[in-house]
Amino acid sequence: MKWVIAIATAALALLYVGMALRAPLPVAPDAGYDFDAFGRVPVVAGGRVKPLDTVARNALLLMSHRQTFRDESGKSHEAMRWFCDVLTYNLDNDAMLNAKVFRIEHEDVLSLMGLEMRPGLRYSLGEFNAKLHELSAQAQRANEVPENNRTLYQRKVLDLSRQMSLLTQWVQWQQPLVIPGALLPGAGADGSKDWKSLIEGIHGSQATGHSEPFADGFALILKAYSQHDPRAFNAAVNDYQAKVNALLPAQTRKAQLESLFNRAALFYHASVLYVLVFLLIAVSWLGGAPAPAPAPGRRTRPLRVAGISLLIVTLIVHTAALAIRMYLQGRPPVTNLYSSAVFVGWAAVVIGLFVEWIERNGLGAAMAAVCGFVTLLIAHQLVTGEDTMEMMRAVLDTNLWLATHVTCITIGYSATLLAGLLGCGFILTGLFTPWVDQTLWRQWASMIYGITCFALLFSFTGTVLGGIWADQSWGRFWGWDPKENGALLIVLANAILLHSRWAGWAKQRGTAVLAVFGNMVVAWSWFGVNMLGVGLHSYGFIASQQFWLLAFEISQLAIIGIGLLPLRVWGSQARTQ
Amino acid sequence: MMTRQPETSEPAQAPATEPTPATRWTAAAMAALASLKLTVVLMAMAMFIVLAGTLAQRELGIWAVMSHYFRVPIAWIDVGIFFPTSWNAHGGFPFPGGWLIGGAMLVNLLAAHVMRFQMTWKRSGILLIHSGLILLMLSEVVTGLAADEGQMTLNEGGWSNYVEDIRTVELAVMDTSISPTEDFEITIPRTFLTRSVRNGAAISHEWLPFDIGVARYMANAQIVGPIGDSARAKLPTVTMGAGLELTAMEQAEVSGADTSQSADTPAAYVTFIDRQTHQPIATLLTAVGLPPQELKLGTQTYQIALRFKRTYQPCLIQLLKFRHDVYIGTDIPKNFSSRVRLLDPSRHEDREVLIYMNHPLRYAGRTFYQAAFRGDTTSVLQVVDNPGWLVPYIACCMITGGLLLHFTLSLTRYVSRKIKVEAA
Repeated sequence: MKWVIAIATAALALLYVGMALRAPLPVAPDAGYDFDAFGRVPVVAGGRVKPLDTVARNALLLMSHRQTFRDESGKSHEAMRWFCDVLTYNLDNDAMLNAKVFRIEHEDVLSLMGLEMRPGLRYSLGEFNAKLHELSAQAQRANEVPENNRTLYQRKVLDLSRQMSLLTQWVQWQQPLVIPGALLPGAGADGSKDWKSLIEGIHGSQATGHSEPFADGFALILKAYSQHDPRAFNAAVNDYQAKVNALLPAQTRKAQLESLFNRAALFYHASVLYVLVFLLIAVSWLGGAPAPAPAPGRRTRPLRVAGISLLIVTLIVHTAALAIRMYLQGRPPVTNLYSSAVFVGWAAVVIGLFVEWIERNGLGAAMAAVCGFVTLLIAHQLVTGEDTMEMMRAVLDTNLWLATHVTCITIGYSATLLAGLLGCGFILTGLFTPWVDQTLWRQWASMIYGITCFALLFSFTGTVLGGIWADQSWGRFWGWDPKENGALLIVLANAILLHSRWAGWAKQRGTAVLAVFGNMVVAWSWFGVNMLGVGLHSYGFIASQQFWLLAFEISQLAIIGIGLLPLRVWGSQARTQ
Repeated sequence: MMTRQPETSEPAQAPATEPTPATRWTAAAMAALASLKLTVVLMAMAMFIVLAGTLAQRELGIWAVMSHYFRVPIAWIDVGIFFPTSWNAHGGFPFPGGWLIGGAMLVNLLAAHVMRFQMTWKRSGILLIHSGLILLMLSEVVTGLAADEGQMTLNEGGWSNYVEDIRTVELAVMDTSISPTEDFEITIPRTFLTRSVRNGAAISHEWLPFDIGVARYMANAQIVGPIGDSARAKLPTVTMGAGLELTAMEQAEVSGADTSQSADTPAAYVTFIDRQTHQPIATLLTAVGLPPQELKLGTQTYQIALRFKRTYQPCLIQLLKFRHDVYIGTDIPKNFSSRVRLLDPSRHEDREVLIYMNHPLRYAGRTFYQAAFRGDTTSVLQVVDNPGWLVPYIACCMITGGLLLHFTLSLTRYVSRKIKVEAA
C-alpha cells in the first residue's frame, strides 16, 4: 500500500512537470512568427555566449520586472516579440514605442517624465519620448554625486537613464554581439572571442565589399519582421540557425538548452511542488490520528508517504535545474547571490530528507519543503534583469575555491536555516497547540541539535577554506572583511548553541530559541553584509532588500520573545515536564 | 572584646583529607576558568565585537577597524555604528576588544583541557578540534604581531628590490657618491619626525654631519603651485629645491578613516642644522610624490626624500610583461598576471615566474601576490612576510578532521541507540 501511494504520487508529479515543459506559454500566440526558434540563436552579451531569448528576457526583467509584456491593447506577449520590435525600430517599425515595458515607481521621476501614476506603473516609451532630454540632464547631475551619497530620486533617474542607453545600443545594433568572430584556431575555447555587433558586421562588409553572411542573414530576419512577413521571417531564422549550427555546433546546442531551460521555468514548478509537499504533510498530522498525539508522530500515514514521495520528485526537478545551470555556466553551483539562494534551498532539502530518513516523523520533510519554497521565492525576487549566469570577476575566477569554500559556506547556511526553521516550528507549535508531547519535544530538540552540529561542521570548514583562499590570493588568512565576519558569526552562533546545551544552560526549549537566533545571524551574513557596501565580497546593494531583511529579523526576534514566555502559558502537554 | 589576631599564613598541618582553602580556591578558580558557561559568554561577547567591527566598516577603513576593535584589549564601541548614518547617534561605551576576548577564550580552552583531559575515542574529536582552535588563535596573534606587508610597484621592464608600506612614511637622506652601484641611506621613521615637531628637538645621527629639525609635518597634504604671500607666511620659509616654487596644503587624513582605502600623502618642511653652530643651513619641502630634493653642502650633495616606508627584499624583481584581460564586450576583469624575473645572486636564483590571481610566488619567507594594476603596464604586487602563514593550514585540517570525527561518532551513537529503542 505504502509503495502504491508513493509511486502514484511520484507519477502524478512527473506528469505535472512534463506537462509544464510542453505547455504553451501564457501569452498570445504571435501571428505565426517562430520567436521560439529566433530565441535560440546564440549571441554574445555580458561576456558570454547565450541565446537571444535570455538577452530578451533579462532586458525585459530589468525594465519591467516581468518576462512578458502588454501592448497598447493590453494583450500579453513574450519577451522575444518586444526585442524584435526594438531591433527593428530602425527599420521603420515603431511598435516598440507602444510596449508598456518601463516600470517607473518614483513619483518625482514620473512627474519629470510627464506621466500620471497608474496601476501596474508600466509605461511605454511613446508616452515619455518627448521628455528624454530632461531625463539625460537630470542623470548628468545625479552622476556628479558620489555613488553612496545619491538620493533615491537620483538613483531612480540614473536607473531609467541607463535603461535608455541600453535600449539605444539595441536599437542601433551595437549590442548584443551577433556575428561570430573568425574562429581561428586558439580563438578561445568557447568561441566567445572576436564576436562583432551587427552594425560592425554591416559596416565591415560595406567597407571591404565582401558580403558577411551572418550580418546579411541576421539583417534578413529583421527585415522580414519589419515587413510583417511571418513566412519570410521563419525561413530566414531557419536559414540562420543552420548557418550558425554549422559553424558553432557546441555553442548552438548550449544556447538551445538554455532557451529550453528559460521556458521550462523548472525552479518555478519546483516551488509549487514544495508548497504541495508541505500541505500534504501538514494535513497528515491533522487527519484522523488517534489522541493523544495527533501531532507529527511516528505512525506511517498515507499522506506523509505521498508527501515524501512528492518531495523526492521535487528534489529531482530542483537538482536537474541546478545541474543544467552548472553545465551552462561551467561553474560550481554558487557564483552569485541568486545562485546561492537556489543552492541553499537545495542543500536544505537534502539535509531535511536525511533527517526525515532518521526520524520519520514528517518534520524533516515539512521543514525541507518550507526551506525549498522560501529560498526559491527569494531567488525569484533576486532576479532583476542582471544575467544570473554572469561572468566572474578575476579574483573569483577559480573553480577550486568556488567549489569548496563557497559551497561549504552555503551548505552551512542551509543547515543553520533548517535548524532555525525547526526552532520556529517548535516554539509556535509548542506554544499555540496542545499537540507536542514529551517524546516529540525531546525528539524535536535533538533534531535541531543534530542539524546544528552539521551546520557547524560546514560553516566552520567553509570559513577556514575561505581563509586559505584569501591567503592564496592576497596574503591574508583573515582580513576581517564583512563577509568573512558574517561567516564567523554563523560559526559562533552554532558553537554557542552546542556549548549552551553541553553546559546545561539550554535544554529543549533553549535549543529551539538559539536555533531561531541562528536564523537571524544567517540572514544578516547572507544579505546584511552586502548592504554595508564595503568589502571584497559584497555583490550588490539593493534597497528593497533592506526592508525585507529587517522584517525577517524582527519576526525572528518576536518568535524568540514568545519562545521565552514562561512554560505555564505554553499550550503543549510537554510543559508538564 | 576579642582583638583580631594578626594575619598568619595558612595552618601548615591541615588534615590531608580536608582541602586547604588555597586548594579549594584554586580548584574553584580553575573550574570557573574551565567552565562551559564562560565559553558561551565569551563566544557571545566575540559575536558582539565582530558585529561591531563589521558595522564600523561603513565608516572606517579596515586597518582602523582592526586597531580599534580587534587588535586591542579594550575597544570603544561607538553607538552610531548600529544605526543609519543619518540618525547621527552619539556616544559610546567600552567593551572588551579582540585581544582580550581571544585571550580569555584561549585561557578558557586551555583550562578546560587541563581539567577535563581524557584520552578516549569519544573525546578524541573534541580534543582535535580544540587543539586546532588554539593553534588558529595563536597564529592570529603571530600574524597580528609579526606579519609585515607592503606593496611593490613595477613598470614593465622596471626593477625593484623594496616594498612600500603606504600606511606610514620615512625621511630618507641618501648619499649616492660613495659607491657607483649602491646608495648609502639613512632613514628616519615617521614617529621621530612627529616627535621632533612636538618637542622642537632636532634629530641627530652619528653618520650625518648635520642635525635635522622638522619645522612642519602634514599627515596628508596636496602639493600646489605658487600661492599668495599671506598663506605662504604661515609656512616655514624654504631656501632650496622644489619648495621654492611649490607649496604643501594640509588635507584631512583619509588613510584608514575612509572606506575607499586611499592613502595619505604626507609632506614635511625639514630644516638642516649645523651641528657646531646650531644655525640652520637650509630648509626643504619634502613630500610623498615629490622627487628627492638635493641638499648641497659645499662639494657634497645629499638627496632628501619623504617617502612611503620601504622594506628592502632579499631579491630583485623585474616586471617582464603585465597582462590584463576583460570579458568580451564588457569591462569585467577576466584575469591579470605579471611575468617577472626573480634575481637573487646570494642564492644563485635567476628565473622567470608568472604571478597571477590565486597563484602567488613564495620566496625566501615572503609571498608575492598579484594585487592591483595601474594602466596597462604597471603592476602592483602585494608582498607579505608572515612567519606564521602555514599554521592556519594545519589548524584547519585538525579542526575539520576533529569535527567530522566527533559528529560522525555522535550520529552513529544516536542512530544505534534509536534502533535499540525501537527494537525494544
